[in-house]
Formats: sequence, structure tokens, C-alpha cells
Amino acid sequence: MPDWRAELRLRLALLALPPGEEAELVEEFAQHLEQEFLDLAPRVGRLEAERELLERLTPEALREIARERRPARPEPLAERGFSMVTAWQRLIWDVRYAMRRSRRRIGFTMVAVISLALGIGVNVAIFSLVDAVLLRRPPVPHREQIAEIYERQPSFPYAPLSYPDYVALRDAGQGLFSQISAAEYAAVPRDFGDHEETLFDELVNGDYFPLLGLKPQVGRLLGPEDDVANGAHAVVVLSSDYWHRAFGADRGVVGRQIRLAGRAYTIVGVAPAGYAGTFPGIVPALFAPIRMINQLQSAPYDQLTDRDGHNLFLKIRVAPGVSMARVRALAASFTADMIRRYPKSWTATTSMLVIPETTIVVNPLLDSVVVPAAAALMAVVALVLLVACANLASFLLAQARDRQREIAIRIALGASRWSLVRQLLVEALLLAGLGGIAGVGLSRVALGALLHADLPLPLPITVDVSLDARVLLFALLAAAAAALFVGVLPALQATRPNVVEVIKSENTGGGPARRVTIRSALVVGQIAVSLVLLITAGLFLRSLQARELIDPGFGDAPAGLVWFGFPPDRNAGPRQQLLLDDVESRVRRVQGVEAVGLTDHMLLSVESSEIAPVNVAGLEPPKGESGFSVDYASADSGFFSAAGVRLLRGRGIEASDKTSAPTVAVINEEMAKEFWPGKDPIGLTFRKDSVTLQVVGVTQTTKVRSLGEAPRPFFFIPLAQSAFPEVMLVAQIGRGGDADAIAARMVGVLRDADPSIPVLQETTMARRIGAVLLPTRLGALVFGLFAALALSLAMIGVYGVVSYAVARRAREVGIRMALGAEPNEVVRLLMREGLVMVGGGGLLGLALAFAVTRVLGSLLSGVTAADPLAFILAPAWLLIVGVAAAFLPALRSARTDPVRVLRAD
Amino acid sequence: MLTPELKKGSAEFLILSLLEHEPRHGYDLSKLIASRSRGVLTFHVASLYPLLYRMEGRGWIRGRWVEKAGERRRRFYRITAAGARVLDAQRKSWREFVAAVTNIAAAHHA
Repeated sequence: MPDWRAELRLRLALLALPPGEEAELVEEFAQHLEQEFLDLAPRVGRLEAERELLERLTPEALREIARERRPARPEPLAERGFSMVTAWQRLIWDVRYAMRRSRRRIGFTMVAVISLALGIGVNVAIFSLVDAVLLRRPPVPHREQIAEIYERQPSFPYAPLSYPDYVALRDAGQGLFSQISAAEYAAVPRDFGDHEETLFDELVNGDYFPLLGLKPQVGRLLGPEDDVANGAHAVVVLSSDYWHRAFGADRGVVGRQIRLAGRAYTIVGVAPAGYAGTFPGIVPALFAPIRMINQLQSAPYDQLTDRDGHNLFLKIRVAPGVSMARVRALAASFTADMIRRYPKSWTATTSMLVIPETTIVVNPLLDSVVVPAAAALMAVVALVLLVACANLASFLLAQARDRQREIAIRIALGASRWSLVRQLLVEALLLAGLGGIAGVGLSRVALGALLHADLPLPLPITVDVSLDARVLLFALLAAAAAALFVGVLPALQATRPNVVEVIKSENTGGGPARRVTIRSALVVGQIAVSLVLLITAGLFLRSLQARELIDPGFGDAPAGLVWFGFPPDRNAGPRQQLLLDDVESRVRRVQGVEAVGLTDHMLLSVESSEIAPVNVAGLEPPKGESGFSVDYASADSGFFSAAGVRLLRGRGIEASDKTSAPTVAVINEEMAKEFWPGKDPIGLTFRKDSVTLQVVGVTQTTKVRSLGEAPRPFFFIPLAQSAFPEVMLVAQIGRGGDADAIAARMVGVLRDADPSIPVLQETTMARRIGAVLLPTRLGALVFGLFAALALSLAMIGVYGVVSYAVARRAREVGIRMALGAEPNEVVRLLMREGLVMVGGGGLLGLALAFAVTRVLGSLLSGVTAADPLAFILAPAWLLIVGVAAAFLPALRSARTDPVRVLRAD
Repeated sequence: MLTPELKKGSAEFLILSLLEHEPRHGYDLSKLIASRSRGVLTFHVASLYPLLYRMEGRGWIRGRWVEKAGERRRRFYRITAAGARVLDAQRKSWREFVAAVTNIAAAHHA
């Protein structure tokens, strides 16, 4: 029995009656309610009776009571205040009631909350990523005045510029640009005295921070005063992330010094908290002046005059009154001028792109992949939530049907429809609210696992997925949408019964046909959506399979890889060679190492590649080009066996290919076929830039830039005959060896050889190749998980609908079986409804999948978006699972004893 | 369906007649109203008590807490002299009204 006195005191408190009088009313009403409750509870259930009785104590009624008791008293509360207070109180009562109902059917509540938590959780997780990578932007004033500048070359659609080109453009754009910012990423060793740590830094010019209009958290940012003379600005600004990580957010860091690449730098400030550098996801530790690049990152040439290094990301802000059209005109004339002055670096087909910042999400090149991927993921998780909601809605519909009698009685007793709808909605809101909270928690766990997972990433990617207002708002909206979806339909359905009909019939509900149809429609929708997800997952799996079947043409034996730079006094010439010889001989002595080699550009590199114009006697280069653009790398004598690049003819690079020796090249088979079809290229020559190279060997064609690419011409030149700022050391071990352990040993060996060697990356061959497969692998995993989730939910739906239909037709089945129907006939009869839903949903899903998968084309490789296998296997799987979900309840029913069913009637 | 006004008016009449011979408490009254009106009139806490209090305010009925041996204290309503007069008057006008309606109906059928 509810505590009526407490409930009444709570409600009457608003009327501010004298205590004695209130006590009298409480007592009188409580007695009345107790008796009414005893009357009503057997008919509608205890909880419902309690709610029904309390529901009648509306604020208006209570106020009327007060008025009758004390006609002369003024209104206890002002009209507006009164209704607001009571509206709140009413909500609290509704929530309390919903909580008690939920507690009473704890099993259903758990299932509902868990499925909503999964649905909302995946949405919040994916949205957090999208928010972190695509949406979260520092507030840049007048974004429309900003444009990004890229060079377009046939081989690179969006190439950054070199430093001297930036300087030339800056000078040419005077008057048109109010600012021009330049930024380049660099891996810089920080010296702690006893050990070193490689930091990922962004080197920026003087306009970088002013153009973005950023304000420091502490101290100052870098400005034009740090961009005056090369090598003269030993200052750094910490990123907020690194400031927290390495300095514990100590505000006293300004003025402190840190040692970078053997030199002291003064910390002058901390960048603002929301600013994570040029590329979201690649958070730099430090910002340093670009003028210090030669000091921070050693190279055998001057990086501030080298016109071939395309590393600078440029942004301009137009001067007031200047249009983007004028900037484009300037870019065109500037390009023409550069092509005339520097024909070697600026080929005739080079053009310059001026892309307004407002049209860029992350980066023009990445946008074409990241944006559709994000959109596809968001759509998929929305579908998962939709399926979870449809499932719950269909369960609530069934429940609503079972509650019709109770609700009809309450309506007959004078409950308003709105109060009943409100109650059902509040129940749905409570479920969605709990699901939402659990979902946010779940998303934190999932993201934590993802970000701490040992992914083979090519770059140190840090994504700040902390909960911000936008993510929370999104979670709130998702939960609210779920509640509406889950609650509205059953609420409207349940409260619109034909009152007389329902009460008269001693059955549980009236007018079954339409409600079952709505429920079935929900299940059909779920099946359709699940099939879309299944097919999508199938496509990603097929794409992954296709890629994994691709032989990269190298690296089939495990190998440890270490990428390192050089101390400034040993970054070129014989001293560099001595260091490399020493390192290689030390690594060769490590137990288990079978072959050791070096290259300056590893195959299948995501970060950078080297391309040169190549001329072959008798072949006309493409129109407007000074030569064929061919990818190449430098390698030493050990590289081919260490990396597993198979030599087909001639010889590889040898130790004798020194600086003084003739310039030679080892080409791949594709290059031989393309430039010397039908001929033996050994001994023939070609020109790279102005150097003539003699072909001494031919290797198997390997993948160069991506696994999906068509065979691409490629050549190696001797490491000793080129200049390079960094190098990749490759140590191959026998099959079954532990490459991670070897990589760690290699770093130790490097430290032993010379502690001042900056180690930039420690990895393995498998991780390196895995990085290329990562997007497809993640896609297959994520879509597979989501499809499994959606399919399980949909099958629970099918099972539920068939079970329900079976229960409804138990009597009919009993009669049929008593009359001699065979069990398998009955099973077929009962399964029909479930199978019609599976079939209908399947067809709808197929049609949807054909439409949806068109969008995925850019994310797939090796399979078409209409891959027959995916489109056959996924529906087949759906059919199998669907038949099972319909078969089980039907079988159970056919096995029951007909006598028992009929007697129960 | 009864309009609220008609409901209230007929309920006052009903309550007075129910209290004519013996005092009753609120729950008793609501059950009797429901059964006498065959479910056409239903009253619950929020609708019955304002009515009782109004009738009490007008001096037609009087509520009083009564403690009977072995039972708990309950508030019983009894009819007052003024209430009895109102009941008489209402009965009279009700009879006249019914007679008039009967006459009209009879005239139509004639």
C-alpha cells in the first residue's frame, strides 16, 4: 500500500494551509484513497491504481479544495508560479512512477537500457571522433578571408610548397595578402641529458599565429619578431597538450629552457587549449620558428633554400577589399613566372591552387576520403540506433497491447488521454535517459580502447575525444530522438482503444490487426537496415580480402625497422658513411638478424615519397613535361635482401657503388617494360634530372605508394651516391622471429653507437604494411560489428513477433492439432508470418543496399560496390538467421499438448 | 454525457438525499453515488471533497470527526436543518420538473 499521507502532504504543501487544517485534509483524503485503492488495484494492478489515484489530485483540483475550505483567503501562490511549480512536481511524480514501473520489470528494463546504450554509445563514439577531427575548430576570425595554397602537379594533386617558393610568393603577394602563414612538420629530438625523446613539432613562420588570430594561454605566441634571420630564434611555444603532458600545466614554464637537437631553446609561451596544429589528429608538441629548421632537423643541404622539398603548408589572408579572384590571378602569373625562372623544379604542367578555407574540412586531399568515411560511419551508427529503437518500440507496442485493458479502465474512470500518453512518454524518456547515460559511458570505454589500441599508425596521431558540450548535446539529442521514436507510437496506440470493446472482451486487447501490422512494419524495417549493414560489412571484408591477397612484392620475412636522423656534424659525406657502416655492422651482430640494409625512402611510405623527372633516349616525355615522373629511392647493398625485394636480372646495389664510382640504378620490371619494351635494359642508360644513370639490375615490381595501385615504374640508386637527412634501417630476421623485439634491440644498438643519433621511429615491416591496410581493416571491423549488432537486434524482433503471434494463435493451433493437423504443418503456418517479414525486409534491404553502397565506392578497393559475393552471401546469411528466429517459437508451439492449450481456454 | 454543471447540481441533490437519514463519510458517499446513478456519476477525492466543502460552507451539511469504539477516527457528514429545507425545496421542484416533462412527453404521444 502506498504511503498516501506522505503523497498528500507533498501535494497539499503548495496550498500553504494552516497546519491543523492540512492534517485534517490529509487524514480524510488518505482514508478515502486507501479504500479506493483496494477497489481499483485488483482490476488494473497496484502500481497503475496508485498512479491513477494520484493523477486525479491535479493542482487545479487541490486549489479548488483550498478555495472551498477558505473562501476568503487570497490565492496561496501567484497563478504563474503555481502552475510552474506544479508542472515540475507533476514531472517528478511521473518520473518516480516510471522508475518504479521500470524496477518492477527489471528484465525488460535491462534489455531496453542495454540495447539503447549500445545504439547511443556507438553514435556518441563515432560522433566524438567526427567532432574531434572534423568539427572542432579554433574560432578563426573572418574565415572567408583565408585560403590555402597548393601546387598541382600531375603526380600530386595538392603538393605543399618549398621554402624558397613560399618566400617568392610572399614577396609577389605584397599588398594582396595581409598575412601569409607557412608551417612544416618535423621530428625533433629533445635532449634530457640521460636520454632523448623525439618530439613531433610544427615549424612556423611569423604570420602563422597572427593569421589565425590565436591568443596564448600563457606567455606569448610566435610572431614576426621570431621570423627575422635564419638560425637566430632559439624560442619555442608549447602546445597545450605537451604543456599538460610534460610540464604538468605549470604556468611558470615561460623563460625555462629545453634542449632540442643539441641546442638550448627558451619556452616563450603556451598555445591555446583548443588549438591542435594545422592538421587535427596530428598534435605537435612544440611550435618553433621555421627559421630554425636547419638547426632542429639536420640535413645535408640547406632546407631554407632547397626548392625541391615540398613540405610547407601555406595559408593566406587577403588584404581588406581584395577578392579571391585577384589572388587566383596572381597565383597564375606567379606560376608562369616560376616556370620560366626555375624550369627544373617548376615543370610546365604545374599550376597553383587557391582554395578558400571555407570549402576545406581538414585538407583538400584528405577531405575526399575522410568526409565520405565520416558520413558513412555516422549513417551506419544512426541505422544501428534506429534498429535498436525500432526493436524497443515494437516490444513496447506489444506491451501496450497487453496493457490496453488497464488503460481502458483508467480512461473509463476519467483519466485524461494526455496524462496516459505523458506517462508512457516519460517511461520511454527514462529508458532513453538511462540508455543515454550508459551509452556515453560505453562510448568513453570504446574510444579509450580504440585510442590505446596498438594501431600501426604511420604518424603519432592524438585525437582529443574529451566530452565537450557538442558531444553531450549530440548524446542528449540522440537519446531524445530515441525516446520519441520508442515512446510515441506505443503511447498513441495504447491510449486509443475502444474503451467499451476492450472492457467487455475478457481477452487482453481489441482490434489486433492494425497493431500487429505496425509492429511487423517495424521488424521489416529492422531487417532491411540490418541487411544494408550486412552487405556493407561484406563489401569491406571483400575489400580487405582483396587487399590482403595483394603481394606488396617485398617484406615477406619479418623485419625490424628504425628510422633515424643524424647529428649535425655527421649528416653528410664520409663521416655520415662511417656512422652508417658502424651501425650496420653492430646490428648485423645482433642474434637472429639475417640481413641488414638501409634506404632513405621506404616502399609503401605514407609520409613522403621521392619523384624525379626521368628521360630515356628515344622517348618523348609527356606534353609540357621535362621528363617522365618516376618514383625512386636510395638504398645500400644490404637493402634488397633485408627488405625482401627480389632481384630478377643483373646485380643489385653493391658496396662498390660509392660516390666516386659510376652512377648506376636498379630498376623494377615495370620500368623496364615501360621504357625499354622487348629489350634487355641492363647496360642501357637513362637520365634523372641531369645525371646519367646506367641500369645494372632489374627487380620484381613492388607496390610503391599504395597496395591498390597499378604496377608503377620505380628505381633505386646507391645510397652513397645521394644526399639524405634521414634513413630507414631494415634488419630482417628468420621466419617466426620477433620483429618488435629486434626493433627495440636496434634502437639500443643505435644508442650504443652514438647517443646523439635522433631516433625518429621504431617499427616493424608487418606494422608498416599493416598501416596501409589499417583503414580497410578498421572499416571491416567496425561495419562487421555494427552489422552483427543490428542483425541480432532485428532477429530478436523477428523472434518476438513470431512468439507473440504464436501465443495469440495458441487456441487456433490447439484446435488444428486436436483435429489432426501434423506438427510440421502447424510450424509452417506459424512461421509464415515471420518469413514474410524476413522476405519483405530482405527485398527492401537489398534495394536500399544497392543505393547506399554507391556512396562507398571511394572507400573500397579491389571490389566493386555491387560485388556479387557480398550481395549473395549477406542475404543468404540473413535468410538462415531469419528462418531460425521464426522456426524456434513455431516449433515450441507445435510441440505443446493441444489438450492443455484448449483446457486453459 | 452530463455537463459539469448538471453533474454538480444533481450531485448536491444526491448527497443531501443520501445524508437525509444517516450521517456518512466521504468514501461511502462516492460509492453510493456511483451505484445509485449506475455509473453515470463518478466522484473521486479531487471532485467530491470540493463539493462537500462547498455544501458545508453554505451550511447545508456539517462534517465532524467521530471516533467509534474499535474503529479509527473518521469524518462523518450529516445534514443540517438548512440542508433539509434545501432538500425539500429541491425535491419539490424536481417533482414539478418531472411532472412537466411527463406531461409534455404524454402530449406528444397522444
